[in-house]
Amino acid sequence: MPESPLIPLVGTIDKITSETAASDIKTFQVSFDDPAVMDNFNYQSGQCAMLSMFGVGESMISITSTPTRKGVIEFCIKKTGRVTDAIHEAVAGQKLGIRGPYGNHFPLEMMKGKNLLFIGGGFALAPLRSLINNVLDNRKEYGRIDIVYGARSPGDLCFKYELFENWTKYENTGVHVTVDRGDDKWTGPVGFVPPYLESLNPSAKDSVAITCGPPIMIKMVLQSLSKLGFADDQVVTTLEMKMQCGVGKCGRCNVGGKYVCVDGPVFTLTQLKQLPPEF
Amino acid sequence: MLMTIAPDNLKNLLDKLARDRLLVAPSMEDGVTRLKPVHSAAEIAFDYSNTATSIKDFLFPQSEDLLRFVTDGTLSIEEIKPERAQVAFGLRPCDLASVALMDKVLLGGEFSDAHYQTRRNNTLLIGLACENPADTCFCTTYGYNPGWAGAADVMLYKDGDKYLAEALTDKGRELVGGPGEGLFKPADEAAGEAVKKAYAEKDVPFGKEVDVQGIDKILDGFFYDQYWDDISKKCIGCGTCTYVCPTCHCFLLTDEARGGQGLRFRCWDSCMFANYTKMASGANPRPTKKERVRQRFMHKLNYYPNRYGGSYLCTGCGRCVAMCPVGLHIAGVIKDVKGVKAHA
Repeated sequence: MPESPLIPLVGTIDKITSETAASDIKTFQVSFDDPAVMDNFNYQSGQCAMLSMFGVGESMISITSTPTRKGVIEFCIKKTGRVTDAIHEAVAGQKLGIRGPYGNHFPLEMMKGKNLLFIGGGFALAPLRSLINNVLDNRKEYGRIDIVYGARSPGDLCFKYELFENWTKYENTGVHVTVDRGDDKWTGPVGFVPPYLESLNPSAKDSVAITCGPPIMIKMVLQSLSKLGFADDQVVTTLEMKMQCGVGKCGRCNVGGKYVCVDGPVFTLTQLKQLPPEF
Repeated sequence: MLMTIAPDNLKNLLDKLARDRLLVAPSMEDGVTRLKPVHSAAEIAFDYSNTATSIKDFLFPQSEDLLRFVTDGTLSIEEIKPERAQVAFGLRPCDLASVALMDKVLLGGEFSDAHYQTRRNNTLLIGLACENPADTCFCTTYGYNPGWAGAADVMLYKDGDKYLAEALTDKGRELVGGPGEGLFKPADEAAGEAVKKAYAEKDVPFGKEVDVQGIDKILDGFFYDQYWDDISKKCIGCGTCTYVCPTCHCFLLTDEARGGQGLRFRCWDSCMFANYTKMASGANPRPTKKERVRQRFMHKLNYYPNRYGGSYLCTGCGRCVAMCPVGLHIAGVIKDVKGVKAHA
């Protein structure tokens, strides 16, 4: 093992799944080349890892697979900048660098026995997917589960197999999908996530809401949750910031006195309200 | 145990050390005294108030190679370690204090920065107390003083025609008993303590003007103050303050590759730069100078003491006071914020 936490380990991209019609979002299944490292890679839902494309750079990406399915490590990545462009150009079998896992995780203990309301938008379903599959793998430990998800168009929906075939099979579990604009084949709801969420009128009683999405969606969703009677400590979300080291040294991902890389990315709304609005 | 060393013997010792390790010392070039690598004691400036650059350059260098990679179809990574032993001479109390602050960031927490740790282990720090603090010096604001030994392995105090010396660590004692054997003489303990006390109590005029007491708590409620809009207008975003600062530790990781092989290195970055927090999506949580200027001072005077327990992330070295081209510096901000508060 390298001495420095900044040195990645060598891994391989084993499988690539295009999520969207435009192929701008793909899920990459990766593994460490050293079987011992692979075996010892213990992470929790909500954590991230730093992926390296050598000669290009590194990006911090949330882990979208669930720790309950050992041996599978997946990242869902949107083609957005230099590093993610390079990852998108990769083919199965290609090598990359991986270091992590980093950050805190979703508070599973606080969610045990509660009804869970997941609200996701666009490819920000990625970090939620880890938690969704995690709780579904331990279905009996939780109350009702509702997954509310929206994307710009039917072609922009991620994880379609899970949304429409897998997650709907679990008992006492509802999947509610909306799109901003439909197409010829779309027969489901049309409209933005926040009003759709309000129309579903989920109960705040014994519930925890977990939301990830683009900033404007989060902002509106938080207002909707408040209207629905969710208290701040019943709402969990994640932050993203520019990162370099991932280990609390390089200084840039702070929001006030918190470093998103080590103190985050998961925060309750109560915690978020104690931070300056610099995210 | 206190000792003395004559100036000629000190030069002999430094010459001897320069033979098998990198000797870093104050040296004048084009009228500016910097801390820089020198070949012998002849290049060292002994008469200076403070060096324009700090010990940071050698414990946390501006650019540092971390790994080598080869990507010719497969991928191999080789970690690069900073093996070279070095000795830094002539460090002022502010820089000796800064090392402890940097240690908390880079060595503390769940992850320890191995490159920094190796350099710390490989570097012998020889401090030199301040005879004449500059008019930009304000170390006493933070409870340090012109005789503060901080992280020094050996601390020297000019005392008439000789130096009083104290070895403070195992590394320091090894120097005195090893390469320094025969060059140091035992000192009169009582007289030596009196010299140390005189340095510790030496007057630092600018330090008296800057009272930092309680500013961390004041800043808890100062984030939204109009003050940040006002002072940030004159910042030109040059980053000089962060580069000359012995405690600014922000860095960037970058790759350079050619023909299937390359290096990953880290280099200093600056929270004063517009792209510092800009994400690939284009989103930037600190889009204007106001947020960036506020970040730097909040970090040093509020976020850091809250996170690491007490100390501010500034040692009053005065480099930003001397070098900011528009006179926007931490001593002024402390005075302003306390003034604004007093008049509120």
